[in-house]
Amino acid sequence: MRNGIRRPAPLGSKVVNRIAAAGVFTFLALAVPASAQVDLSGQWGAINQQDNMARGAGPDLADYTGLPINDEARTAALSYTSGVLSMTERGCMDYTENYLLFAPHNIVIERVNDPVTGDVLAWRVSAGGSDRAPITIWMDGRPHPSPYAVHSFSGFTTGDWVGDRLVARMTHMKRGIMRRNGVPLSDRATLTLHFVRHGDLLTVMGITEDPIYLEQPLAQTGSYRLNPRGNAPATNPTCFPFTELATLDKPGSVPHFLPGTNPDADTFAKIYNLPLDAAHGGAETIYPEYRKTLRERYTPPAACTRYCCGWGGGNPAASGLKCIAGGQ
Amino acid sequence: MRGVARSAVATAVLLSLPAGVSAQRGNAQPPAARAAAPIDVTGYWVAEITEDWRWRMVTPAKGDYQSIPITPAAQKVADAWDPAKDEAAGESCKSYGAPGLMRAPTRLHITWLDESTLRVEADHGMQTRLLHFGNRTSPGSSPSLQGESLARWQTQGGRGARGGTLVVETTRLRPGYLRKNGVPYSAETTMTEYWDLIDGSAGEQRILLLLIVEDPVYLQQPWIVPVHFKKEPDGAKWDPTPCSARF
Repeated sequence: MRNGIRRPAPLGSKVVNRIAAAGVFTFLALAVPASAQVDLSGQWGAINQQDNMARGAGPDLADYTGLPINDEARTAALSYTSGVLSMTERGCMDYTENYLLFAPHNIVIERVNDPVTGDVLAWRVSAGGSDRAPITIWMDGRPHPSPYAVHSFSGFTTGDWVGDRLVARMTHMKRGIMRRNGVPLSDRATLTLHFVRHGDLLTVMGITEDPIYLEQPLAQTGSYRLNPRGNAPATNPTCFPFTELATLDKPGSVPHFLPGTNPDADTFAKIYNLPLDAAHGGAETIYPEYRKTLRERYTPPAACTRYCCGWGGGNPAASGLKCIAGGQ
Repeated sequence: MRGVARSAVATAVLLSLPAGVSAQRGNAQPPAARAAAPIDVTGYWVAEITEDWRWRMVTPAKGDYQSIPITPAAQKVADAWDPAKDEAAGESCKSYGAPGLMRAPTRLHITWLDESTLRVEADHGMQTRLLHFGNRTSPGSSPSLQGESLARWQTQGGRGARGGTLVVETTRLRPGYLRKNGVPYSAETTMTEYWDLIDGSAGEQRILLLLIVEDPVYLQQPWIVPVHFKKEPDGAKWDPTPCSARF
């Protein structure tokens, strides 16, 4: 500028400046990633080195250890019989979205890009080989629907990055379970999932809140290892309900136990010498001070008599171990 | 014109350098671990035993190795477990070494011992771990129950990122038990820990701790287990209890 008169810059100079500026912008964008750029995509193999049986073959009947459930949940759980899953309308009730937290399956995580802008629109978390529907974690800032909106097996989930951690909040879940032996989860439950990646290891922490069946939030974790050879299907077969027992076609026939009649209410507790209150869970049972109540009431069984090597990954033939792998 | 392009490239290169690199210019000393902490893990924390309850909250039956990928050699040791012998040998704390302790039903009290050492106390067995930051080496030191733990901060990248991870590598462990019922780990064990802070929707805070235990003697593959601790407002429930070989 000279004498107050803006002199147009030569055309070439403008173009170069713009190119340089664009180059700087592009370079910076590539060199300093947004915090939302931890790549979670891939096939993740479940490690299952804790809760091996519960996640694998399944938990014992009436084993509610470690669950901060209330009396309502306990009563409902003790009325449960797996025969109920043979009903057409209840055959898929185990496969709500929180199934991720107690199932043995590998998971597949896909990044869903907006086809126009290229932005990350969502992350989709599938469970390879499971009946569970994929969890779609919307990253585009959309609001959760009205509380009165339909609840589905997919729930409704939105996500945000907190540093390198993806935090996903799920609402609109259907009534389901929180353990595969009938411990119920209400349709008012919400679930917060934290995805934390360290190298090839991914830990998923779920914090379930349920005003109907939990005395306090339930925190659970599972770990996965990146597996480029997983060959897990990207989409899941949906749960296909059908009636397995002809007798269930009769109207009003719902397999259940009336209060006080469950023959296995104390089976698990007896097998492992546990006081019944310990076996049946509750918030107080998950904290160290609960051990004081156990000291005089618990002695370990003399020897392990069942599932001593666990399930699946603990295959004794493959590992060279000689131990009891099965049980009743 | 060239000046503009040069300065643009120079700016881009400078800005793209990791913060740690630019901080080292001018011979500036890196900040002490305490000052550099991207997360605050100090305070009182309580283990939430919501996984593996039957193996963590109480002593399981002898010979119950479920979930741990042990070797046949480990099975032999575990099958010979005798808590009376451990007591007689003054080894009641064998399940309270770092690999067993961090999954125990315990409270933790975490404080800074000095500017480069985090002290992790556990009321369960009254144990203390020291997590040393920096290039510390202790040649010739004897293996111990809690071993030697080297710590570092892993800060998070990205625009607007906050937080980080405490990474700890522990070696020089005296042999002990992964589980109260005598499932062993050897002196060759290493343990890697990733400590992350998790903020809950109701304002509660948790430590999510990923443990990776490797033992070429007694494990067929790494034992990888996450555990979690919930923050408590104070030490009102802190309850030091001595080691027990049985319960």
